Amino acid sequence: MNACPLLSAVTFLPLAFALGALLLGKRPDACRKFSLAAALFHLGFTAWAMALPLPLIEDAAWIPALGARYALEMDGVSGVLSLMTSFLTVIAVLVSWKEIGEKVGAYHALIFGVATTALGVFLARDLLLFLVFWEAQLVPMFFIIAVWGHEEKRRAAFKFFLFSIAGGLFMLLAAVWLYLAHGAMTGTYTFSLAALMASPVAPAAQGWLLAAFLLAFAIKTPIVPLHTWLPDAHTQAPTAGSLLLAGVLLKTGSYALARWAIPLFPQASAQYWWVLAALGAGGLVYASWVAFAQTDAKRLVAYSSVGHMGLVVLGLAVWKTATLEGAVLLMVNHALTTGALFVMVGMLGERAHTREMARFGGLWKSMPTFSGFFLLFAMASAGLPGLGNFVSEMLILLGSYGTAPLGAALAFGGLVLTLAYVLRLVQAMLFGESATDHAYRDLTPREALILAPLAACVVVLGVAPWMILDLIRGPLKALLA
Amino acid sequence: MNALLTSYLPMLILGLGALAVFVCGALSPTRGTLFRSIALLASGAACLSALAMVPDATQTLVDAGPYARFFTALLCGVAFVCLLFAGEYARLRGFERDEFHALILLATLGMVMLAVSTDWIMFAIALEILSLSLYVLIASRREKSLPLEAAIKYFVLGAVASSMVFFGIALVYAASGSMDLAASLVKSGTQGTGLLGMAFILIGLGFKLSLAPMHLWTPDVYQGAPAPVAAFLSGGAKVAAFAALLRLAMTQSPVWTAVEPALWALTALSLVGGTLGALTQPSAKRMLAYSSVTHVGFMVLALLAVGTAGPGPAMFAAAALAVMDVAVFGCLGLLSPIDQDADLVDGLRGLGRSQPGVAGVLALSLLTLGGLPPTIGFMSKLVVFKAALAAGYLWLSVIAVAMAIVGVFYILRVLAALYAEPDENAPLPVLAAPGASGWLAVAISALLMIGLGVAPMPVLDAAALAFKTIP
Repeated sequence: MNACPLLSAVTFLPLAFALGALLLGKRPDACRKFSLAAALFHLGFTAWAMALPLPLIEDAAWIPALGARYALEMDGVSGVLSLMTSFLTVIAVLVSWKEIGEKVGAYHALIFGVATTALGVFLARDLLLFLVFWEAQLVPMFFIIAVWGHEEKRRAAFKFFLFSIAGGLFMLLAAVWLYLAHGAMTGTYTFSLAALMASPVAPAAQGWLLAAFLLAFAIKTPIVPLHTWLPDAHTQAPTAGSLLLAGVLLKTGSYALARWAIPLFPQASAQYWWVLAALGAGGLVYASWVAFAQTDAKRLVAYSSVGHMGLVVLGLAVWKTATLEGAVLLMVNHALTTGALFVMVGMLGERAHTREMARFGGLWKSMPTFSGFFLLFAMASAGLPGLGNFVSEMLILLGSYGTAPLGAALAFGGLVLTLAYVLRLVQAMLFGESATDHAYRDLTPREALILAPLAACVVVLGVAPWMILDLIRGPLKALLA
Repeated sequence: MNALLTSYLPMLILGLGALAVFVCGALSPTRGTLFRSIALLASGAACLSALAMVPDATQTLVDAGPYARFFTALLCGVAFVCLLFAGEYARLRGFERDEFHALILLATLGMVMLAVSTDWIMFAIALEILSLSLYVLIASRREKSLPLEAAIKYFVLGAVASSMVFFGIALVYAASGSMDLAASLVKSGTQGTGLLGMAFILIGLGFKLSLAPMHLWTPDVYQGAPAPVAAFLSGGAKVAAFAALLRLAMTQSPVWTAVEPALWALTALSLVGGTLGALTQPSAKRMLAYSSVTHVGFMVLALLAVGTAGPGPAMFAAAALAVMDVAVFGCLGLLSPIDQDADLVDGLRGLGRSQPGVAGVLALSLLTLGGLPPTIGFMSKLVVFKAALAAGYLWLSVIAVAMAIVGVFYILRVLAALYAEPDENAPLPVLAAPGASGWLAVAISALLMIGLGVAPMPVLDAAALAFKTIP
């Protein structure tokens, strides 16, 4: 159904809230309360939009001279990811409550900026509009890391920005090339996704174009070996920054892979799918291996994030119903579990002013609530049955076994490694010998309140994954057809 | 008669405005506000009257069609915003004199004439009016040595460049026997005299445009010139010279096609040289000067594609350059302490906190320079790439993209400095308030950068119109 201006509201409401947060910048408490209320309102609004019969479509002329349209569409897949974005925005506001003490207004405005640009990426159905949102994503996150980050924030922010823009600009060039080639072939110059998908360009050109698009998406996802910006960015970012990076920005990369790169260049992706699959499965093993060597808890979670995204990429590369379902489901689950782990490491960092794993140990005695939550999320991350990740990992492994037995086997090995380092993390932090005599305070009610909904989602999605699978099945079928 | 009048009306307004400022200055030399009001009024009125220009076939010296209308309105608009930026800046630094405002108007007159002239004589006069006014404008702060040095440098090199253009004009005339711009190029053939003449003109205009390797003056002059004048130089004079060059390109005459390979090389050189030059500059103004060299290379990339895509993309790129260069230098001027312009990148540390408004727009204009959406810089990249790829300039586009990526690095350096913690040892400079005119200029710049990035249709339409009417 045509939903003007419903989808525009979903996309741009956060930007309007950003303005409000900026205006309240002088009164930090009011600003926090306003941001929380606004984020909650947006969550409700998105959920309400999702409850309408999907897909919702909005389409209007934007730049007629270029054939660019202002086209947004919310189907099951983009809807689920939008809902996840607005949910994580609420969490991001909550975890910053105590951590962020200066320039509170600008900080919350930037968080809302991240939300709007990510929602735009999820919903856009016009290549030019997509590119605008895609590249605009960098700006708020750059400032969040560069201004509110930790010791080496400047270097990490630069690295993040340069990596991303390098991918983005080559994609811009390829997009213009695609637009011209498509126009020369069909006679209509358009950026519309549907039109570009309907008549793909000649297979000879597709290889290069796919490579340029992949570069952009691989950097953002991130696919090994283009992942090196991520551990730095995650380690240096404030907690909410890590949460949004892992939960939202990485997902824009893998989502764009499924929504844009593969459908736009069907022949080339059918020819080179194995490259992507190898990078995904190999990345999972590599990142899990590297995660072993980490001493900084946040870096370890960051590498685990790279590994899980490798599994998502494997699922997308294989391009089967089961693997696609698994990949989208894993995007959501990964956002919840890894996001939660970042939040918890952040909470620990606030208490201990360090994230070195060697400085902890035996936390279970002094912080039972914290440890309980931590164990839950760590186990979910390792793929314990009954929790969110398990179903998605199984879908990807089983689905890809038929077409890519080697990749599936490699990925399975990677998952074993994941289990191993997660156990090591849990052992080192929660059990074992305590490194200090100092007992840290257990979770405050506010912190427990932040983690409770995340934990609930992880459990619910583990027990009842069909809630999401039902939503995404239809759109994914359409993508495959 | 009526059409004749309207086609010269913007120039008349600018000239009369300059005269009025001089007369008022002679009567009472200290009334800076009055001079400023007259100058603003004149440039504003010229901008509006440009929109009402009627094409007139009876005279052959100037063009009054959509192409001329586009550039006249743009250049007068640039002058208007630069005057707003210069307002408080000039008053606080004691050069809010009559000649400053009159010369801005005269330079604008030169720029407009350069953009609209279709005759070599007109062209030469325009170039001289523009250059002579600029020599003096750069030295507006007479008590400082840096501006004087910059002015002398610009004068010496500029005079050489002007004479090259004149010599080139003479050669083209000798080869073709025509003083009409388009006709002379078409007639002059591709051998000997005509080609040499075209080469001289290209070198001269390349100097005004700061196209590498004729760009060596740019960093020194931009560093020395007061920031609002630097804004005027890069957003105005450069765009005017570009408009003239674009008019030559639009002839697609044999002699033009013969120099295109050279222009290809100059473009690549500008893109690479400008970016690498900017990369390690500790001085913000020098860095921006090099960055403007890169952007000129980028504009010329669009100009090379004129044959297939028409002048529209190049015109859009010119408008984008005008908007962002005026904004970036203007904001830098507002963030400068009185005794010396803010220069070192590290000197900008912490200004994002103490001056959130102006520093915010400076940050926005830096993002525009970097070509990030949703700004006009992004749209300009898109439009130019579209034209360049359609015309087959794939490698030049790849170079442009690679340089844009490298270029982001120096932009981030300034952004990070703006929002870094202030240096504890060096106290923040005490800055004067931008004043009402400064705030207005900042607001207009921000509005144009975002507005034209989100809705570029008005400018694209105006540029497309020019394609239809110019042969």
